[in-house]
Amino acid sequence: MIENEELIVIKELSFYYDQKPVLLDINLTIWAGDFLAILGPNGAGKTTLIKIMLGLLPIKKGQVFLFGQPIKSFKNWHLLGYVPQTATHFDPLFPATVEEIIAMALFSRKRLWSRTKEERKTISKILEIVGLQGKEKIPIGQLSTGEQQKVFIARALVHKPRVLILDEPTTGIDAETQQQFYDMLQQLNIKNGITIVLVTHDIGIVNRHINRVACLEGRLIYHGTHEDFCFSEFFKEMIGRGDHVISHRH
Amino acid sequence: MLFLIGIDWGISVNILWQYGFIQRALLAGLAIGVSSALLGLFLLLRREAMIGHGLGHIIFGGLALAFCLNLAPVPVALIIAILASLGMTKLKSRAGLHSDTAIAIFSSVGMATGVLLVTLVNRYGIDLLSFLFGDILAIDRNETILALALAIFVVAFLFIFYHQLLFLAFSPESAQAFGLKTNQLESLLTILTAITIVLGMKIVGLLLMTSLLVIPAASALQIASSFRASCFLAVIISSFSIMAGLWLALATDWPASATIVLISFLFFLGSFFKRKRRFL
Repeated sequence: MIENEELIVIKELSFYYDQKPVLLDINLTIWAGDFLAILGPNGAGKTTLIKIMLGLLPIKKGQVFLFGQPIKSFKNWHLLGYVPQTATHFDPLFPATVEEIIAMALFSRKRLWSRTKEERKTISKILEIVGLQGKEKIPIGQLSTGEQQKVFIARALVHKPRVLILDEPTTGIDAETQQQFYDMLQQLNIKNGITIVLVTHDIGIVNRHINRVACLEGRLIYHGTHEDFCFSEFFKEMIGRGDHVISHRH
Repeated sequence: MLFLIGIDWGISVNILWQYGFIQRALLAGLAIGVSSALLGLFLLLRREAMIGHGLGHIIFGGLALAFCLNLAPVPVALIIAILASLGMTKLKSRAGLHSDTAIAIFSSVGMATGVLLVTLVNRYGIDLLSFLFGDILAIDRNETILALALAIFVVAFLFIFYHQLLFLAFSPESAQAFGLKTNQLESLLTILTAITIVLGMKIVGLLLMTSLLVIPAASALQIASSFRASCFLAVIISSFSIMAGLWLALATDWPASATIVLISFLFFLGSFFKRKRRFL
């Protein structure tokens, strides 16, 4: 990992749905090693912003650079892993096993039906990383929401991305599983060197796992380190009490 | 149970296989059955079960046009079906419509055009009706070869793009973010479906073609615990329905298309009850 390497650079980005502005004049840089939380209320443009980073929405005004290249000419999409907000909203009767879900991403570039022993090992290894070892043959619909979300993270990780983007991944997951889930993300960030971009409503997580914060309300109203954020006016406003800035990093 | 009395239960498969028209019917039927079962799985998982029905209506319009202009019906129907399938994919993405809405618009326009053309030339002939209801025993050598070629192409396409298509069916947004050319894959899938329907209209007819796309796949999805197993099961159910339907039709003189469809429905009922028992 190169120190201070700029992985995603957004310059003067604005986006409109029909005539309604959703994002205005956003300038944001995501560096290698960041664990960035994008915070903001509903309708703040968080999901729109990451969809633009992923090339799922067209740029109407401004510029986005991925790994130094303009997004329009960017081809190495495998460097970005994505877990969408609606990942767990699939048909629960979809007849795919955990192994098949991960294989979708692993083999989509190979265009082959069959799998080699080594590739099977890759799947087992990635499942071990997310704590789902031995669950290869279980149909995805038979797992809990938390486990399903881990499978989608495994699918996003299997092609070795440098950035993992997650859109509100803990919706519908109980508090204890959320904690384990965020611990796992932190491990990925620290041990595996994966840059993480997390869209969330959960301010509680801010003090536990992340190292950078971006607050969005149509405009980017704050972008800085976790430490600065904890003592900022924005944080005091968000938690409603200025004297309760708890910081217990793991 | 009176209808069972007239059945010649002793009809020998060996004797039947000696006839060229039966060989052609079985080969073409199995080829279309395999293609439809595999394509049907992806269509069902993408919630596009009615695309077969919609394309059938559009092809009816194409056939009517061919009859009006005194052109060969199958090539015209094929061109119209491919153009319409591309049009549906475009309309869906450009107008932001759901699949069922795009299918409904195209199918009603196709049917309306067909009815109008048939009425204008006052030629609701026997030829047009044979495409609506199919006649598997009247399939000629060229049609059999085309059906076999299609089956080989469909199996090869699914073999090559298996993981991409599964990714697209399961999570289109993630597949797109992963860099897959989802629009092109969707268009290819719809074009292959259109070709399968055009070639299958001789076997079960346009009106019943949806059943070959939907019922074996839906039966397999009831009981399979993995997608790979669904593929094998759908092919087996479709093939058995066609073989048993053809044999029963010959033994009873029942219409082959309707018999094939009803036998495949029996498979669906079987898998439905098997699933129900598993989850009780």
